[in-house]
Amino acid sequence: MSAIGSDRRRIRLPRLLAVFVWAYILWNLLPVVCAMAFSFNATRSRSVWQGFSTQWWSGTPLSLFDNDEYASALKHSLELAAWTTVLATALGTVLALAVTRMRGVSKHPVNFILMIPIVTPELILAVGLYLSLTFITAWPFTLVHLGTAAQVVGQVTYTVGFVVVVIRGRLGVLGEGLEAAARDLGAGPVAALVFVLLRLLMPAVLVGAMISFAFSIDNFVITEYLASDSSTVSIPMYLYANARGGNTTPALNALATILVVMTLAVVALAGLLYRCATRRETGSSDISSTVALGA
Amino acid sequence: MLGSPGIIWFVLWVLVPAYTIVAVSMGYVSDSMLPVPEWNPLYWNVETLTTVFREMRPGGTFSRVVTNTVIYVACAMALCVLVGYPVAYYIAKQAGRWKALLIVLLTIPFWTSYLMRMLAWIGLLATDGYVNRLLVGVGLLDNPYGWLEGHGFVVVIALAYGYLPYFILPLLASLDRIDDRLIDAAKDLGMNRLWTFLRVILPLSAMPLVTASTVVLLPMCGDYYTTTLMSGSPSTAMIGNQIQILAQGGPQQNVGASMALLLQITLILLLSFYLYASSKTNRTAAPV
Repeated sequence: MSAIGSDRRRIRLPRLLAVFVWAYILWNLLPVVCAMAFSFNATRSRSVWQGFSTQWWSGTPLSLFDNDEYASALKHSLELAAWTTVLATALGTVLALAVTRMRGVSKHPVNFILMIPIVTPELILAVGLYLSLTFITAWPFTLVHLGTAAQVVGQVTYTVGFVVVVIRGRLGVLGEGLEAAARDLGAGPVAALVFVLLRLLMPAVLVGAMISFAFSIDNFVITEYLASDSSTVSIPMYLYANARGGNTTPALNALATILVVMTLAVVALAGLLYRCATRRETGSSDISSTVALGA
Repeated sequence: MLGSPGIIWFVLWVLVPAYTIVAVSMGYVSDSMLPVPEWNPLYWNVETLTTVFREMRPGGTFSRVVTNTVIYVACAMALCVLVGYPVAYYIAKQAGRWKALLIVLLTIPFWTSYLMRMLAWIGLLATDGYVNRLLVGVGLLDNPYGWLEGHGFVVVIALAYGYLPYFILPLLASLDRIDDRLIDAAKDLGMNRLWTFLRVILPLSAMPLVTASTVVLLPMCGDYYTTTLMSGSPSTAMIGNQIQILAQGGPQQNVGASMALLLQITLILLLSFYLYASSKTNRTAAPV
């Protein structure tokens, strides 16, 4: 990475390219900044600026913090994110450890299954889950009802693959010798796994957890498909339902702002933590590759 | 076994649902007009599937959504390449000391809720919004234009806008890995900038471009929310809209399941082509 920026002999494309890149970045970020600014608009309009006020955030019955509908969406999103983060991280960590230990033929089908949710459009995953939860009358499908339980199952299924990718990347960097070394020094199999390998894996597990949180809180398709009634409306579902409504107020922009700030804060924290935890190692991946893995 | 909870989870919530789509698609409709899945492959009924397939071809009931999907996705992918490749290339190879900052700025939209990014444009493109004000103000338009009232090109631009961050970051990561010594060698051997680009950089970017395109192709094909939010008109509906309407309850769930199945089969074929192409490139490429 570091060798690239310092090399001055590289052919220089015209300035035009630099202007193009900055224009792209502006085109990408400016609309979102505008939408956030409109949450402070003085009138109902979400498209014309008419002065500053905080009335859509708090103070009136229609403001974000004083309205039950917004509060319920926010609460439901956080509830889903908490469940998804815990389950997806636990399941993903164990799966990543298991897959790296597998030898021979069993590895390929497991890898294949893990890839399915990553390469399938969310809509198809959602339709499949919806149909199996409504048509199959056998255990454990009868346990999971549409609503919170089904939404958590769907979000975890969608997220686990990404957690596994992140943790396997870290396992690859750590190499296979550590556990064996711990065993040679007298640690039992469980101790070698928990005190040595899992401890070294912690940064990656944390990043995995934060990615699950971000995925869960931003998830729309699966969450909407597996919802039941108005108590299981999450923030993205609420945004989708009201984005074009004529009666919608800038409080919706305030709700969206909260969503964006939450996600970005969690991801930034994950990036920083990972950096700090792996700073002293050579070959540690930078934030761009961590993020690229998520794609 | 360490892996068993995860594997059981995936079997229950990935493989069984996939099989359910097939079973519903190959099932029957009961006397009370409700779809009944057929779990036994021996009794599968392919009639719905073949009917849906026929209706998806030109002239059929579903041909509109199929044509829309193919055209919108193809145009949006072309925009992704035209905009995303220069951006990724510049940041990977030319940005110098700005590189870290630019990567952070690219990462922000990647982690910004997709719906928020659409919501932002809904405000700007409204009839009294700032895009119309600007265009009327500089004299490009005489009257405000109804951007959000059922225009295919707005959906295409919105799709490109929405998916570009997911296109650029993986592309950037692989372009970053292109060995600079190859570019230097081309220069030392007397190639000018244009030739270096055409004969060295472009061939090395081919596979990363295909990978990044695949990353956005898959979700775009199942997208229904972008066109709903940016147009809302049935004339710009995509295949995702049709699946979403049909599969969620009602007597036509088997039709919805068949469409989902056909879409998934198409995507699997495209993905296999990609895997074949990438394994071939890996085999022929000289180790660097």
